[in-house]
Formats: sequence, C-alpha cells, structure tokens
Amino acid sequence: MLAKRELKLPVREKAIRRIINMKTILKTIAVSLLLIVVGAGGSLAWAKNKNPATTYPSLVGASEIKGTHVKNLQNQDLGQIDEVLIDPDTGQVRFVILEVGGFLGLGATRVAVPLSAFQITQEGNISKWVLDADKEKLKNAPKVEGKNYQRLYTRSEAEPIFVYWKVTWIEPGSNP
Amino acid sequence: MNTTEQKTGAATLLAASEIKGARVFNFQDQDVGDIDELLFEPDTGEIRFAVVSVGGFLGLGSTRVAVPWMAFQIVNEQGRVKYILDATRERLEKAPRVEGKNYERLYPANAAEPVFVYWDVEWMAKA
Repeated sequence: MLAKRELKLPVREKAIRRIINMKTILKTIAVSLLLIVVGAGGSLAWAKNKNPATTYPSLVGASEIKGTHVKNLQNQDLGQIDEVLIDPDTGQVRFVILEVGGFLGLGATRVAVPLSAFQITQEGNISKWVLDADKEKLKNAPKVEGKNYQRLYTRSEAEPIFVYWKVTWIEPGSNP
Repeated sequence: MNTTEQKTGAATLLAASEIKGARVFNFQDQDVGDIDELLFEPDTGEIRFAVVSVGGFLGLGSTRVAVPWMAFQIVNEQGRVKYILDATRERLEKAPRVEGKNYERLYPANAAEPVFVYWDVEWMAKA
C-alpha cells in the first residue's frame, strides 16, 4: 500500500507543475518528501524486497501457513499465524488470527486481522507475512477469545476490525 | 449444475484448520473423502481450490484432487457444516489431480481454468 502511494507522487507532481506556480511546487515537494520520509521510515525494510507487481504468483495452503511468523515493518517478530477464517458463501478469506507472543512485553493474546492488512511476498518456496504494527497497535487491537468465530461474521463486530487495521470494509457474504 | 449461488445459511466464519479433515459427501450421500487443504490466492484472499483426499472410495486408489471451492454445496446441518460435491466415482476418477504440495502449478490460468471447467464452475478470470 505504501509502495502504491509513493508511485502516485510523480504523476501528481507533473499535473500540478502544469497549472500552478513555483511556490506551490516547492510546497508540494516538501509535503511529498515528508510523506515519503514518514512512509519510507517504516517501509524501507520491506520495500527493498517488494516485488513491484505486488503479486504472489502462487496459491497458499491455509494449513501450511499456520505457525508462520509475522514481522512488522521494523522486521520485529510479532507472533505467528494461528488460524485463517473464511466466509464459506463467498470463499473469501476474511481474517487471519495472529497469536501474539511475548512481543515487547505484551502477554500472549490472539488478535483478528483482515487478510488485506498483510503484505504477503514470496521468499523462496514460502510466503513472508508483514504487518504494519507496533506494540501499541497490537495492544489495542481487537482480540479473539477462544473459537467463537461466529461473532466475527457479524458486521457490528467485523467492521470495527477493518477500520482499526485501515483496510477497506468488505460486506459479509458478498463477493468483493 | 450451477452451485455458485448456494448459501450455507451458516452465517459464520469457518476456521481453515477445522475444515481440514471434514468429510465430503456426494449426492448419493456416499462419503467420497475429506478436505485436505484449502488453497487461496493471497492478493485477493479468494479460496480457489479445496484439495480433496479421496480414499478408497468405490475402489479408487488413494488420490488427491483439486476442486474449485464454489463446486461445493455447503450446508448447515443442525450446527454442523456438511460439504457436498456432485461427484460420482466416474467423475472423481477423471478429476484433475494434485501431486504433492506443488500448489504453484495450480496458479496460472492455463492450469486452473480446466479444473473449473471440469467441475462446471464458472472460471473467474483474474482481474
């Protein structure tokens, strides 16, 4: 997502250059640089490895990723994938349950994260999972208790999780 | 047969690890095997295939076949999820196989589309 934002900048700058004065250009560049610095600060680590097409040209076996470690943009280990939750009607993976270990002093807990919040890249024959999260973000993230996954089906429970992880809401039981 | 409009009425999310091992029945209520794996496309989150492990069903040797997720009728039977597939012995025998864990092979359209066609599921071309 960060990569996409960065790619858009030159195009936007070109358009602006045609219609406005130098002062605004400088202001725009300053803002752009700020955006890049803020964005790249975190994303540098994974941007280097990032396939420009952002595709992972393979299928992932749901049972194979259980136990896969998830890193954040700072390359810290956040925990591991505990479960994949699917909507049977649409055949869509909705949530990945992340088991957060003792990361930075947080107690063991399980959080539900929409699949689209992850950056999934290919590393050899396995998938690498990256999530933009720090200790604070994980601490306040919506938790999952036990195996009561039915709760996550309802919009009232699921939508706040999508909002929390800043990804586009997908209606349950609808094809995106 | 068009099964893409089937609704489970389950109104719940299913855990992938709990689906693994679920029995699959055919229209004659014969146990044809179990779900061995779910294969999803990481960019879109779409479950493309379930890998069904066909046991000794009606004399077929042990084999694994790829079945598009939408080929299944998933019904909620008193709180238990039941997976139904229009699969006779004949149909399973000729179904596209999966060898080992080389799931990458099922990713390209030229490999995936024939599987959809085989199971009478509309192929959704990648956007």
